[in-house]
Amino acid sequence: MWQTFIIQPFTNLLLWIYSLMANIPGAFGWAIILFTIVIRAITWPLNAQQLKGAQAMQELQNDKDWQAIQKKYAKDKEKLAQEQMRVYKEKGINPFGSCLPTLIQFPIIIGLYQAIIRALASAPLGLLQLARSVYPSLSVAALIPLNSHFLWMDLGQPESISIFGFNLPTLAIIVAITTYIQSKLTMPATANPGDQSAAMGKTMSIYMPLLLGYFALTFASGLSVYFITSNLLGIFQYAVTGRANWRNLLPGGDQQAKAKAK
Amino acid sequence: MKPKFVLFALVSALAALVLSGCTGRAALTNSWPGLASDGEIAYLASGQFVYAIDLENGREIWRYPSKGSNSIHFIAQPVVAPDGTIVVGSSGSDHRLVAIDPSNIDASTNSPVEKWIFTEARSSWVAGALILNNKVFAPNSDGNLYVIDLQDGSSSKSALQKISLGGALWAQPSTDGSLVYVASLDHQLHAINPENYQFAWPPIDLGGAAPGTPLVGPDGNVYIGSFTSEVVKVDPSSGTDTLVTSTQGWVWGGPVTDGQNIYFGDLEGNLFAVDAASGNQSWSIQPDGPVVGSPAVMGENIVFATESGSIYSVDSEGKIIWQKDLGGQIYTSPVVTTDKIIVAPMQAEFALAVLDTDGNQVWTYTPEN
Repeated sequence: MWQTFIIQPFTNLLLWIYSLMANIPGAFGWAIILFTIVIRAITWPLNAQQLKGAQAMQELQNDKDWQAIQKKYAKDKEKLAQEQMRVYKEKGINPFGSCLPTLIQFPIIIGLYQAIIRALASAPLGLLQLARSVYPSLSVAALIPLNSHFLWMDLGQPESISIFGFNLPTLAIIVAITTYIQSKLTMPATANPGDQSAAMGKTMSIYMPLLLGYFALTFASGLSVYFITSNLLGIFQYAVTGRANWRNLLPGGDQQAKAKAK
Repeated sequence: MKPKFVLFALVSALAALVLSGCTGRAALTNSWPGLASDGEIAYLASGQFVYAIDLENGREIWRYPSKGSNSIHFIAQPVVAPDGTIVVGSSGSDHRLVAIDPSNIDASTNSPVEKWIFTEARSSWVAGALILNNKVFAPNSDGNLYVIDLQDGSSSKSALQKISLGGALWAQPSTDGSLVYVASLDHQLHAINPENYQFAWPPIDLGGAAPGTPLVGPDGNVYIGSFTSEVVKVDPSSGTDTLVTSTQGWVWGGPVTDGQNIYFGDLEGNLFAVDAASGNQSWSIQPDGPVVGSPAVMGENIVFATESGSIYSVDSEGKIIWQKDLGGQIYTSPVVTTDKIIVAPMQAEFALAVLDTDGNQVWTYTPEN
């Protein structure tokens, strides 16, 4: 099922895009970038929903009723949960609305990674599996083997640049930075010091860059190209929808934003 | 918010686990085993070890290295040099090509001593080397054919010559004595003079990847199949190629000959015989699955394996003499001696099986940890 509905379509989409630009240097890297744009376009509504959900949750933290319930039922967790659900219903908020779209990214990441590894086929068994994965309508005999070189990278291997004998993982650093910027941009200002959502957002803005940076450091650099492209597109999406909070990127910017929110 | 944290942490851990599962070096280089024999011993290159198995009784004589390592992984066919030295390359992150001396066993580890190691290659060793005139012609996935002196006595080798051929080399080279033929994944067939390392003619574009060993046929032409679902023959004097036949599926394994016919399989599950003299297809049969490895000639008959786990013996007219289902999948070309057929399946109950000429199973071997 995973094979049929995720890996095979992803692999064929990648190969199809690659076949359109096979003569361009670094074609597989460009194919990953275009693939990411396609995936981002498909998941645009989901991301928009995530942003909307995060915004709604944030606004809720500053809601007087919400704050009153938190105080009133601070010692009765069960009642607090019931009241919170009531408020969610009343205001039409899905508490997982900001979380589920993020989780949907994981199968995409895993599927893409497996598609990249399969398409680049570094061993005979992998190449045989690739031959089996290709849809009959796609003629890839002439395309194989795929050129895994893109700029200075071998997309099937983790990336690093040797500087004075030290291997600098540049892509992992860029992945971490762009992930950090993206998560910072999506953190709305809040005036509520007990705002759990803001606290979680802050933690995530540190945790996610480290996690994705680790993936980029360890796994094939093709995945890093996906991360970076996806992050840049995410930043673009926040910017064009007017939801990007650029102040958060400045030193002390979140304090200024909080003051403004008050 | 706590459940969200827990959920996120769990999903992240799961993602890391799944990604790790498909990217470990061993997984990246995972493939079917390499197999060779000198007539008395079978050499199985599988996973972290090369195993030497006594063909008489199926007992393990030694394994190399004595202790497994995550950086060393064997899938390439071991090659037995005339002096008994075994040359085999690793497809793991440690890209070593090693020559091991089976006549010199370290008593403390029961593992043969390394004669020399070559570490200049930048990528995996997928194919076996060709040994010609005391030189090792070793094809690497980095696109280079490394020429190494077999007998200069040094324990750490440097290449006599590094011949850059472009695409990854997954096929063992072959020779007619005067030229070395090397097929590459980037669709080329090269002919190289083994003395001065000059190209005999410009590379021939096969139109598709060629992971099989080129065959020097009984007519002196070089036969090679590719992912274009075609087998062509090349005149070694002029370097011109002619279509021999089209197949239904990609041709993976190199062709073999019994002196009259040329035999090869395809991934659609066919075995073909082409008369070398006339160039006409003599016959084709459909076994129970794709034929990935090369067939082998055993006396009057042809032995080949299918992905479905069967071994077949057919005569030169294409009549099936016997079929034996071993289970698992068989991608590795079977190796034959005068009276035995050696088979290395994947995902079977054993790693190695030996059949007699009638297809009866003589013994099986499973490595002990």
